[in-house]
Amino acid sequence: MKSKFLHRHDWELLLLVIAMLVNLGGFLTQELGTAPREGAGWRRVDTEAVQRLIEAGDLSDHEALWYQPVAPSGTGKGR
Amino acid sequence: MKRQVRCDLCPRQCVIPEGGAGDCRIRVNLEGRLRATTYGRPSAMHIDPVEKKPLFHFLPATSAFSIATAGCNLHCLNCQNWPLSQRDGTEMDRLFHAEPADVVAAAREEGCRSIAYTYSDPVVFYEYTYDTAELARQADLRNLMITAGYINREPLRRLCRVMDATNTDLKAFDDAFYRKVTTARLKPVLDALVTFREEGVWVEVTNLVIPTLNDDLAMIRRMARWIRDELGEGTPLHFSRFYPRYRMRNLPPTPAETLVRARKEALDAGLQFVYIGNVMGNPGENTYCPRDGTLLISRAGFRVTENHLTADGRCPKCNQKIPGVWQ
Repeated sequence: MKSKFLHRHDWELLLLVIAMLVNLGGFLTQELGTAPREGAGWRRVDTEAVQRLIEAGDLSDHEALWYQPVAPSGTGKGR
Repeated sequence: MKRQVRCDLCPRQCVIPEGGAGDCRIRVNLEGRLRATTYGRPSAMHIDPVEKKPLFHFLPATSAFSIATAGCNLHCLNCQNWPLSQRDGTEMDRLFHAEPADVVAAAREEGCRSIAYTYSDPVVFYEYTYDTAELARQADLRNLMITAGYINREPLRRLCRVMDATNTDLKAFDDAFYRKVTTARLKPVLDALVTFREEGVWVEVTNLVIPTLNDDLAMIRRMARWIRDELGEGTPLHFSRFYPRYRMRNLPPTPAETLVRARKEALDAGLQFVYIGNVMGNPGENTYCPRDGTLLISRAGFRVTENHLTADGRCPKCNQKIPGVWQ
C-alpha cells in the first residue's frame, strides 16, 4: 500500500539530508572548538598524536624549563 | 586529578591543563609536566648569509647555520613563515632528528661562523636553543637570536649568557597594532630589547613597514627616538618591505618611497645606521660612515659586494669606530 505522505525515494532523500546535517554539525563543532581566539591562553592538541610521535622518536618529551604546577582552576576553555 | 601548570617563559603565562598546549602549540602538558615537544626536532635547517637575518654589523659575509622548529607565541596576520610558526609538531611534514651536538657538528662541517635560531621564534623552543648555544660556544661558534622578543625577563637574561647577537622585530611602536595584528603587547618587546642591551648582546632591530597599518611617520620618529635613547644611536635599524602573506593579502607591498621616507625620518631622529630591506639596489642597503659619509660596506640583497672597513671595524678615511662585531 502506498504511504499517504512519503514515497520510498522521499524517505531516502530525507535520510540523506539528515546525514548531511549531522556531518555538518560535527564539522562545525570540531572547527569552532579549535578556532583561534585571542587571549585564550592555551590550546587543545591531539595528545594521542603527540604521545604516538614521542614514542616513535619524532617528537621529544624533553622537560621544559620555566613552568610550575598551579591549582586546578581558571584555565578557560582553550582553543 | 588533572594537573595543570603555568608556563612562565613568555608574557602570556599560559595556564595549561593536562593534555593541553601553550598558546605556542608546542609546549605540552603531559601528566602534569610541561614538555618541549620539538626539542631536537627542527623542521627547518638552512645555511644563510648572516645578512639575511638581517644582521649587517655582525661578521659580514659569513654564513649562519639556521634552525627552527614548529610553533610561535605570536600569531601575526602577515606571518611569512606561517606553515612553520602556526602549526604544532604533529602537523609538520618534516621533523629532522638533530640534537644540539648534531647541529653544532653540522654548522662546523659547513664552515659556518654562527648558528641562528630563527624563522619561527626561538623563544618557544627555548630549551633547544639554550643547549645548542651552550655547545656552540664551546665549539667557537657564535649564536644569533632572531626573534619577536616576546619573552619574560628572567628566561631572557639566562639565554643572553649564551647569545652573541639578536635581530629583534619591533613590529610597530603602538600597542594597539601589537594587539590587533600580532595578538601580543608592545611593552614586553621593548623590555626585551633593553635586556639584550644590558646583557651585552649585539642588537639590531627590524621594523616591517605595512602600508596604512604602521607607516605613520610620526610613529616611526617616536620609535627611532626610543631606540636612540634606550639602545644607542649606533643601533642598526632595518626597515623591511611588506609583501601580502597569510591572512593579510588585502594590502599591497610597501612602496619603496615609503621605506625611503621612513629611513630619512629615523636618520633625522639621530640613528646612525638605518637600512632598507627587501628592495634590491637601493642605497639604503649600504653602510656609510656616520662622520664623513664614506661608503663602508656595499650590499646587493644579502650579498656583500664591497667591504672597506678596517680589520678592527673603522672607517678607512677618518678612523671612526663603527659599532658592531667585525671579527
